[in-house]
Amino acid sequence: MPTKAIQTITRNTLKELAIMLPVFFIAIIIGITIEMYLPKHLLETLTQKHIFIAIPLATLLGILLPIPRYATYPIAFALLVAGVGYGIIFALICGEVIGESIVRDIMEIKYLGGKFFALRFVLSFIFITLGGFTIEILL
Amino acid sequence: MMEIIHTSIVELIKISPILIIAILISQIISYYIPKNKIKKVSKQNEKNFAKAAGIGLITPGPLLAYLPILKTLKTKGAPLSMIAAFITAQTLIGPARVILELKYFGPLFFIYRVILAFFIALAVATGFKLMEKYV
Repeated sequence: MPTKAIQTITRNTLKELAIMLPVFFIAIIIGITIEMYLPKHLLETLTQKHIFIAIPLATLLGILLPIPRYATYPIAFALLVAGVGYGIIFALICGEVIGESIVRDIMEIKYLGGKFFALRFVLSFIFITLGGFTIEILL
Repeated sequence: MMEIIHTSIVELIKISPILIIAILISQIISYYIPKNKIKKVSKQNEKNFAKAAGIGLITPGPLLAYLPILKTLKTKGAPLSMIAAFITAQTLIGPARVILELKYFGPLFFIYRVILAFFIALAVATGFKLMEKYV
């Protein structure tokens, strides 16, 4: 690998790490708080009883919460440990397809238009929710 | 509270090497895959959603970096359905996610997620194709 490539890759990796590590740490704190304080069977019972509401709601939360890339994982893992099903985990992670960062969303609207963004929002919501139900059946 | 902070630090130390490797891999791929690869694909076959979704699945980095190219493609007449397929797949999966997701949820979940992400991207593109005249 040429020196220039190594330098660029190292610089970009460090830049991204500098952004990601604090965010990831906060996500881990949230995840551990969920693991420690949320009664184990509460979420399991709630989500299994109302799965037809829980999966669309998880998709919507995934879309609306501006959680940065990868930071959803510790939180989703804590929810899995707390008894939430894979369908909800899938919906929550995939919800990042929109709303991962407000800056990105604004730029998408600026570059591709508000109608494009709105239609992508609606279609992504529908198909991610369907994907969540599929995963719930498969796993 | 102290217990949460302590456990979180331990957990961060455990996950850091995986996070570093994940970001490093995504940066290496990003360096070697030129961004105009997307341009080439859109020129090859305008109706090929599968190719756009496939490229999106393996494309690393934030979507922000690709938005200017996508805008240029839109201006040059590339179908919005194809742009939607790429964006959807790109944001659903990425190289850095592989390692993290395997660590947290295991290979089976990840495999299912990749397959479903591909079909979600195709479904979104088909939706765009049907609604294109209104967008």
